[in-house]
Amino acid sequence: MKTNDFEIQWQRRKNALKDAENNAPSDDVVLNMAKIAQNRAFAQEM
Amino acid sequence: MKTRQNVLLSRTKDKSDKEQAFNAMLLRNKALIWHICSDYNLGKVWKVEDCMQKVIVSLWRYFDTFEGRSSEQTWIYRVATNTMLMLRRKDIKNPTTEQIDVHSEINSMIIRAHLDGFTYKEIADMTNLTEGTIAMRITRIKLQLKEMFKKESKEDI
Repeated sequence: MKTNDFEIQWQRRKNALKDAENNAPSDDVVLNMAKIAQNRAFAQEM
Repeated sequence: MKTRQNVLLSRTKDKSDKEQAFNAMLLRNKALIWHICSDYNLGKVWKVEDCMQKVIVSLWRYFDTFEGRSSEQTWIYRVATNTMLMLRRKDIKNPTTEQIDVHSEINSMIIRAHLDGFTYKEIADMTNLTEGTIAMRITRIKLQLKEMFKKESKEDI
C-alpha cells in the first residue's frame, strides 16, 4: 500500500454519496417500503 | 358543526397529508438513506434493502417529532445512523462495554457525516455536541486515520 493511499481513500469515500444516487432503489420500491412501515405502525396502534 | 363523519374525514385527510409529506421526503432523500445503510456494511446479517426498510420504519415512527429546527437531511442522518447502530449492536450476541464503545460510535458518526459534506453546525445538531468539539474531533480522527494508514503501508512493505 502506498503512503498517499489515505488521501485516495478519503476522496473515494467522499464520492460514495454521489454513487448512492445511481444505486438507490427505484421510487416504487421506496414507496412500497414506506407503505410497509405505515401499515406496521397502524397495526401496532390497533 | 362537527359531525362524527366530518371528524373521521378530517383525520383521514390529516393521515393522508402526513403520508404524502413523508413519502415525498423519502423520495427526496432515498440516495442518502441508501448510502447510510450501505456504509455501515452489515451485509453478513442484514441486506442493505432490509436495513433501508428498518430505517424507514424508524423515520415514520419519529416523523411527528421532526420540528424543522435542523434540516431534513440532518434529521434523517441522525435517525438512520441511530437505527444502523442499533442493528449493529443487536448483531453482537453478548455485548460488553468494549464492544459497544459509545465514544467510538459517535466519532464514527462524526467522520462519516463530515465526509458526506455536512457542516460542523449540522453535525453538532446530529450529535448534541458543540461545533468546537466537532472541529477538534474531526482533526484528531483524521490524524489517527492517517497514522493507521502509514502503519499499514509500512507493514505491507
